[in-house]
Amino acid sequence: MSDTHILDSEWLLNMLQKASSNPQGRMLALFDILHDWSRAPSINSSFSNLAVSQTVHPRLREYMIKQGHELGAHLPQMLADQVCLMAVTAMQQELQYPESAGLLHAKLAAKALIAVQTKKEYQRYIKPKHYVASLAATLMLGAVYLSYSSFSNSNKAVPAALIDPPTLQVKQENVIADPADTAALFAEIERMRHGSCQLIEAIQLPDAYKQVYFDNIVSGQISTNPEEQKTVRELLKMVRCNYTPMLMANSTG
Amino acid sequence: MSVLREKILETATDLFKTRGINSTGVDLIVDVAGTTKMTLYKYFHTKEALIMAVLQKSQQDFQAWLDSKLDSKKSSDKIKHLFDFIEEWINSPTFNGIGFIKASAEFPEENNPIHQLSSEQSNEFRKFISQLAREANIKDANGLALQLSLLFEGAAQAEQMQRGCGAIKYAKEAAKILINGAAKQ
Repeated sequence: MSDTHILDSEWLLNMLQKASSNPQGRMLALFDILHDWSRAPSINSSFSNLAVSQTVHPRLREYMIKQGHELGAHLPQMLADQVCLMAVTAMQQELQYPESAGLLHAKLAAKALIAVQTKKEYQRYIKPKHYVASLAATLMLGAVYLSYSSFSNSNKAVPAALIDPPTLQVKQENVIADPADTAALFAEIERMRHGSCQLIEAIQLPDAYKQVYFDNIVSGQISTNPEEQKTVRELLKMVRCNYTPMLMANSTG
Repeated sequence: MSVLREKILETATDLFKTRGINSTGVDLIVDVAGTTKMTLYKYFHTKEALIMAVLQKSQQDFQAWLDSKLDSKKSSDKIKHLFDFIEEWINSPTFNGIGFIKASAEFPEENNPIHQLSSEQSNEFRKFISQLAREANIKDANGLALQLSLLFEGAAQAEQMQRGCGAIKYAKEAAKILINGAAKQ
């Protein structure tokens, strides 16, 4: 049997299945079994190249996802991926530094992760389908190129909020930013309307930044909150604009 | 440092993060940086040397940022705040993965110098966590550091594959359980 296949072997899956009558026990047994296996004669020096993506161990991954579902984990796939990754990394750590007890510590870390993933009060973190859906959405969206100058001519594919460049409005906040900073942001957003700008993909932004992005950069409703303005300035750095007049850009002379 | 060297380093860092190291050729780097291959090879004799320089600079920047954040905390409290700042870093709009984790996955062969550097950086980061644990009087500082670094690397890998997937939030809560458990020993 090749070393790189041990994590996907029938032998390992049988050992996991026999290890416990409950899903948490079967999931955590991975660390004990790998620990025992790493102590077997002739194994120690050859466990390499396993830090490769988890996709090379599809059967183990599938088995662990099933345990995650049985456990009632909020995000079974994420839990399974992290447990497998920790097991592989810890295995390498333990072989390189046997005294580190890498797999024992990885098991403790996995146990803590399972506790959090099965606690009701942490369920608010994320919607269960988000982990799968976000990848699909990212792939489908691909690179989104939007040009402010072409909004009015191609409104079918553009969200309603973007069809008519909105009138700039100032939000009322308790903490007010320096008016000069607010004015500078107004000017920057206004300037973007005269250029051809490649907006960033909102789907890739963390949730905390999405609203700021849509309100301030897409809708032009500049916040007067200094912290929010700081975020807007960071986000603006990611928007690339070309202000060269089209005639000049097309000129070959 | 030469402005051109700096520009090449910055361009390569961005391209490696967004396109991957192996799929970014030297031709693309010089095109985007607005320079020539001759200039690139003047400062970095090989692509491998450039990758190593990018990894070193990325890790220095990450570590310096983390140090500056932790400086505001009491020594004994730093470990409790470590994942707050890691979460802040991962959730920043410009996050595109942790250099040594990506490099380790792209160069899995143990004898590859890039793999060796990324392993070294991973170990250095673990030692840094271990130091924070000692400052908090944790008995098994090395053990806790290993647990937290495994959580961090797993979460960072998940977040770099799917932004905002929530892995870092779960890792942060798991880290709290582990730190509290270690503090009681």
